[in-house]
Amino acid sequence: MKNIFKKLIGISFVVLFLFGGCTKDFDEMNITPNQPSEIPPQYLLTDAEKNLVAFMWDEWWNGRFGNLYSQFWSQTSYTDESRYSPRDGVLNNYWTYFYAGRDVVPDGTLNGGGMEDLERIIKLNTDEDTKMKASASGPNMNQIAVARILKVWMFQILTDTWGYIPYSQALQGADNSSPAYDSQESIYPALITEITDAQAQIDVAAGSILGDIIYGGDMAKWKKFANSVKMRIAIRMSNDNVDKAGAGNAISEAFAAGAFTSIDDNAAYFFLGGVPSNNPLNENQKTRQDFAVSKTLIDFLKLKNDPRLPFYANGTVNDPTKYVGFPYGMDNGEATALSTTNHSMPGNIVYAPTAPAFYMLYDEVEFILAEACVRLGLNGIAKDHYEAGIKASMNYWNQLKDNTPMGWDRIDNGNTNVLPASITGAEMDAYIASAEVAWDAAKALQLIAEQKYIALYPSGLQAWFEYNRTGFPAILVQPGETVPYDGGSYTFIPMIEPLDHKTPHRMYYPSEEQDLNGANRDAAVAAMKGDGDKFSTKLWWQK
Amino acid sequence: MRKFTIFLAFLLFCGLQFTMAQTRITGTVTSSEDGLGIPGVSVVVKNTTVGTITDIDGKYSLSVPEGSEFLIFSFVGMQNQEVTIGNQLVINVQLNPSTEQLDEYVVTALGVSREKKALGYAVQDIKADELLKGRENSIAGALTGKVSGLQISNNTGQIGGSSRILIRGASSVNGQNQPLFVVDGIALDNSNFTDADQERGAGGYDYGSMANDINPDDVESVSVLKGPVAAALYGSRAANGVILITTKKGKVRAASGAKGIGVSANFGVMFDKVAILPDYQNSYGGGYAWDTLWYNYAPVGQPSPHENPIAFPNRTSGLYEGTNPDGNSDSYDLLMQYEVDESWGPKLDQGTMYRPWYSFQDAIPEFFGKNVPLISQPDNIKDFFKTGQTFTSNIALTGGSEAAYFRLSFTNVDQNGVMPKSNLKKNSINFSGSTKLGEKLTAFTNINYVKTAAVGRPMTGYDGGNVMQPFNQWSQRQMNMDKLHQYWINPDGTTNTWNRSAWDNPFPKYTDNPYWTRYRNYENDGRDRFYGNIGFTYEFFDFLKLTAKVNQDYYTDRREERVAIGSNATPLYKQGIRTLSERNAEFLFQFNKRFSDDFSLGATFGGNQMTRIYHRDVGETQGGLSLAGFYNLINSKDSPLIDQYRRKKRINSLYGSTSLGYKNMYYLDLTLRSDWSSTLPEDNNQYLYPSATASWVFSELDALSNLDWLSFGKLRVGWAQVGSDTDPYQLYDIYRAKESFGSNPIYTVPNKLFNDQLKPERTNDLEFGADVRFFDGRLGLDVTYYSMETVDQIIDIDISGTTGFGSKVINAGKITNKGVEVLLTGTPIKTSDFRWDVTINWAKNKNEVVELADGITNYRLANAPFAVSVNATVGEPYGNLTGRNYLFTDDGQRIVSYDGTYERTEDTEPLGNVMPDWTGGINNSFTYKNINLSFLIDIRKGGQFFSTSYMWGLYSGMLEKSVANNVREDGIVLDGVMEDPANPGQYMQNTMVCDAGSYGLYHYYVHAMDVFDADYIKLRELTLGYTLPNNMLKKVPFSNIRIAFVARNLFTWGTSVKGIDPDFATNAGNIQGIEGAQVPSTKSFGFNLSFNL
Repeated sequence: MKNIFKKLIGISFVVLFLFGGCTKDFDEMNITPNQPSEIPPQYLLTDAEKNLVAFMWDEWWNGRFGNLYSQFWSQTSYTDESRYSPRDGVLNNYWTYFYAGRDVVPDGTLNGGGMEDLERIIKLNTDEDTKMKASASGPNMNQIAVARILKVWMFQILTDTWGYIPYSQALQGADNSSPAYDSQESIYPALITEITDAQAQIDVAAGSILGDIIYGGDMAKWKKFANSVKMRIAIRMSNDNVDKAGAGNAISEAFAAGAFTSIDDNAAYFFLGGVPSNNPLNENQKTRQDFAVSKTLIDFLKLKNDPRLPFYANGTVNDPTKYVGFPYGMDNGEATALSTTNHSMPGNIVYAPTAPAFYMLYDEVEFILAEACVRLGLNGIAKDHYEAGIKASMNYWNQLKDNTPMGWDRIDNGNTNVLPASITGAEMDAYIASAEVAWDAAKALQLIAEQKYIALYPSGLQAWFEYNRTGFPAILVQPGETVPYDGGSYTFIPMIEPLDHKTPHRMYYPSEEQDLNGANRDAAVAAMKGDGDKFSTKLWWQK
Repeated sequence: MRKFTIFLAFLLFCGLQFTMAQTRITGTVTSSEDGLGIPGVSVVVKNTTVGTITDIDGKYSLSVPEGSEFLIFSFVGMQNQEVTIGNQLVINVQLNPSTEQLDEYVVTALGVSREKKALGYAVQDIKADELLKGRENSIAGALTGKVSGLQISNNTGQIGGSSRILIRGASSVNGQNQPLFVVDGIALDNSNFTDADQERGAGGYDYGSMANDINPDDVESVSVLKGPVAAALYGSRAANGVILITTKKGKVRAASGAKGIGVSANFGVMFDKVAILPDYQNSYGGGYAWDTLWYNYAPVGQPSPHENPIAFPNRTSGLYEGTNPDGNSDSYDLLMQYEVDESWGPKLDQGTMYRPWYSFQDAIPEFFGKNVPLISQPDNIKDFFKTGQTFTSNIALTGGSEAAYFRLSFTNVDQNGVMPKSNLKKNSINFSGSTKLGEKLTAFTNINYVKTAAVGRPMTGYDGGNVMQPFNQWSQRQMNMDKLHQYWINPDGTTNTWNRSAWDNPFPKYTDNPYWTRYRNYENDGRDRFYGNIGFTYEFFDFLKLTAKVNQDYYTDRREERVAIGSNATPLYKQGIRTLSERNAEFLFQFNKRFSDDFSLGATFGGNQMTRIYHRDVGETQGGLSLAGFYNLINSKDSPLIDQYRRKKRINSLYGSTSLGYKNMYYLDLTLRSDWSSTLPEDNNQYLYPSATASWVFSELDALSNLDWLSFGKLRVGWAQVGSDTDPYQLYDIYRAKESFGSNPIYTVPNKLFNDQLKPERTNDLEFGADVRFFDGRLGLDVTYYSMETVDQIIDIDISGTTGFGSKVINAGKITNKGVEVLLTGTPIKTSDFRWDVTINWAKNKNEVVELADGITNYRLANAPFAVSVNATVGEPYGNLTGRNYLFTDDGQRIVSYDGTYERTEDTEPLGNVMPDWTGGINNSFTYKNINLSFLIDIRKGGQFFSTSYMWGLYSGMLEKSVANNVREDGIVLDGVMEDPANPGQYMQNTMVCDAGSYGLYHYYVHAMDVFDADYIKLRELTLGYTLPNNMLKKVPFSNIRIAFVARNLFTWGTSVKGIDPDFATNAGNIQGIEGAQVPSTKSFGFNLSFNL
């Protein structure tokens, strides 16, 4: 009996040792072998630079929102979005994409990214523990400056889309799970300050940064980009009752500090040909044919006899020499009754696998300067800036054309081996001199806005913002309007909100915010003038 | 920890200080049915916990304390026998089969067989014959409707599909909420490697539950441990209950005089027919209106169609005359708008001749350029499906000697699904055996090998690869299925579908030909699984034994998916290989002792180390495939996507229990378990699970023991607390890799905020119950009330993206489940030839999400691909369906908008909940001599689901509702109120007519229109069996021959929307209640033959 007692006690101790005590390797076991815990910040920068604009460029945000609301494009079937009925899921996703990124990876879990990548770059280059290591990707200050510039660029788009947005309390992770919304009125001056500081922080002499797919690390160009974005912010708040003086000052400052001066300064990058580094619109058109170039845009380009037309759109499949716009905002039945082969699809240069997405182009700077000369008393000759803008845009499209590959797959049978001839200097001059384009001080603002609208293609969101600010071009089809087209006429009837307003002034908030940040979202809705979270509620700078 | 150890040591050792005079009794227990020895029979000295279990031969040996009067022999499915000991040293008994469940023994946690009446918690067990009656191929399917409080959702149309099992509701916000499967002590992995998109209904395959690997033919009995009180000893994974499976073991035949090896065999064949399809409309064809194909007119730059042999071969004019867009008189053919996948087109069956989709190809000469009449095809979808067949063969050998026994079983299942090209094969081998290595030492093993191979599982959810998506949601009703089958592929290998991009462009606009989908874009998968254990038992004394064993579960699962070149979607090949290994090394001391006539003590002490290693390697082509028909990652156009993932987790555990019995009337059980989990922070990684139960068998009271009508009565109460850990790698921040952009590597900040302050989550469970039997056990009632609360949940909770993250891992939240379970058993008629048994189970669970994290009142489990989301909302039951509701007036009337359609709310609102109010089952069994008829009715009441099929089916004009009551001709005046034009702000009865198109369309905008009650009543199983009397078989080597007609899911009643089966789970996860292009459920019938040799 005694023996057995001993055995039992012995076994129990062995067991206790084996089981209870043996947890030393637990901590190590719980460190994932699947992902690293440290990386150089340059990898985050590439992600942010690629994706912020790629999200903006894809079939959902650009195709079914920006390019529709600006009436660059029309939907050829299932026309709900063109009739101002966005999908809840899309609003939810993109709201989060821009702030936090959200890519579904193969195992169904989510990648992050978005502006949080930029926030992390700033942190890694700021914290004493990490900044030494981080400087392997470039001088700390320069990395921080670039991250700040891109954030400003992004935040302006967000506030121009929605109005009130979380800004000062955003991107703080665990420190603030429900960021309050800031008014657009307060965000704008903050963005001006932020971008001014950021460009001042750049030390070109200290050296370039790594992971930069826009400028290859060239800090002088980042400085120009910062000043150009500052101009974009300023001009948008330049309406009479908004902040004309502030806008004028900021543009003068930015001009003095140096903004874009040629298309070589363009903040744009070319996609690579293969999935997933190809242009998102190129990927989409491999399986679906949802978009055609709108009748609004094509008629407008025809009216101006614009040589960019064959760059922006393809000829119809049935007759490649013919450019026919697809009427904007038809209902499903009406749209389906029209043949896609007899209408113009987006051009090869827009749909190519390598077609670039751009943050901002040089031509926009010229148009801003032209407008600032006219309205804000900036020193300079508006006409020169206006004409330089037009030429810059055409040169940009010439440049794209030279970089567009031949022979990729187009589902709509558009011939990808056909590209338009480059626009010659003589053609540019003739265009600038033509009746619909030639400088006329009496309608300078209209002319500038119209050319800016054309030059922004296919960056539909920006064109929609500008339309809402300036009211030009006055050709956009309005709700309730009956529009003739070749073969009949139709009436543009939006699906959700009633007919008593024009093109939407803003986008309504994603439903997810009601669930996840409800109190702050409700406070923002209450604070916004207008009748709530509606398309028709005007933004601060629209007054 | 120290206190706990001392406590256990005390329990363990204090018992050893008593010794008593003992007598050893031996004997054999046989069955009256076949005379064979029955292993596993419990032999207990009455009024004590002294007992043993018979070995493989049915033999036992038991030392009984002096003064013991009776031995009680009991076995699941057999009538108990009480034998007076007297002076006998050898007691042989023969047990008779029973249907009453009086003093039965049940298998409880850790495989310990316990007298049911001593238990302080609810356990329901199902025996093999009951389980196998319906010849279901999965355990979950076989249990459906049979256990109170066990809510099982299946999809009968899926081959080898998943089952969602809930015991007493969902307790965890984003844990799996699935019970633990334990087979002969082996914790069997029941992972479901579906991705988030599959779960939310956005496509992907249902590869089935891993528990499908359990072969029902090898199962002897199933015990369902419903709550933490019963399952506390299993630790964290048992927080949602345990399904405890005991497999069949070998028998020694020598005891009954039989020689050699025993053979039993079973052969079954089942046929499956599609049972439930939506009500389609058969009045209107595809598109929105007729299109025209002019003979002489052509758009500028296009050669005139008549010069194009594709349009009018061998013809000199179109069929109809008219004026073409040029203003010239011309002839034309009528053309369907093939590029539209909706059915708002021309009226059918009007004798109209038109150009079918298969009239544009010279490869189809018999229809090339021809017109056909436009006729309805009411059975086209039904005709797509085949009769499914399932062949099941099982053969089992048993045998053994005094020293060793074994059972070897082989099962083959070969199933052809109702979808074209779908097949599942499963081969299972099971071996169990034990051998005596000495007087006190017995070694045992149990080994299973299961090989599953499937081809063509149906795709689920909203994806073109799911043929039900076009069938229910996006199609044209005049489709002729024969023609689709006949012409699905051109002689040159290219695809041919009705959904042409244009008459002269055959590329699928949205949808492939369904036969192309089935024949070309199929998946295949296979799994090799090994699970088993090896161990020994050492019997120190009659009252103390040690069992030590190692359990291993290991499988490799391989899945391949493909999209062929020529399909609408980007061509794809994807391969995923997953391996999982789980090892549990454990020991268990068991102590049983009776100290006096009145007092008995049982105790256990054990430990377990679990190590779980999971590897996943998935590769996927990108940008399409270069070569047709070649499915290999190397065929990727762009560089393939690689996903490599490793995971390891360990839990160390110690546990013990003690059971005290007094006067055969009062019982007290205490258990305690401690886990250390590798997934939690170092200083928070230990957690305890205490439980206590007590029961009082009041029928033993002197005052009651003489009542004739009361045969048994017990009251019980139990309390338990269990903890739960989490998945590995939730603590520390990481970066996630994405594919490089050229030579620039890309990493991102993750979407999730990790948390190194996590602590274990906890569930508290309190339950009360009563178990009463009357009239010799012919009427029994077992009622349980429970109240469960889960707190400190580890939740990956969504946060506003504006924080820079999409979710964060936190401890928060509280969910309660309160409910009642009732089991009523009765034998209303019992004569010598005839008996009628009925079992009714009923359960009601009230679930409430009491709180989530600070300031968060809603947790979104998932968004449906469209319209609604599934949520855990504070103050509501888990699983709220949220979407846009009707807009109501203050007095609850629906408001109709200016165009005659319903107005919708600006914000999303709760529209329903996926949890049922109650579930129940009624099982009737009639036996007349050797004939048995039984049927099982399964009932679910309450809860809602959202139907994507209904939403799109109306949007696209496919469903009957889009033509009902002449809505297309006359429009519809919706029930509701409209603003009074004369008095703005005032409402009056709606009189505005809404056209059918808008009516259909608004099912997409007002989501409440697509939410339905999930009620159903199903005739789950019906069997009619005949057992040949053994005396007829004396001349042949066969015995126990039974033939049966078996039917499953023959009828469904009481559903709220015709044609959509509310029982449609396509995954085992938490995201339920979103119907989307469901694979139609099936009814099955067939025959089964079993016999022994």
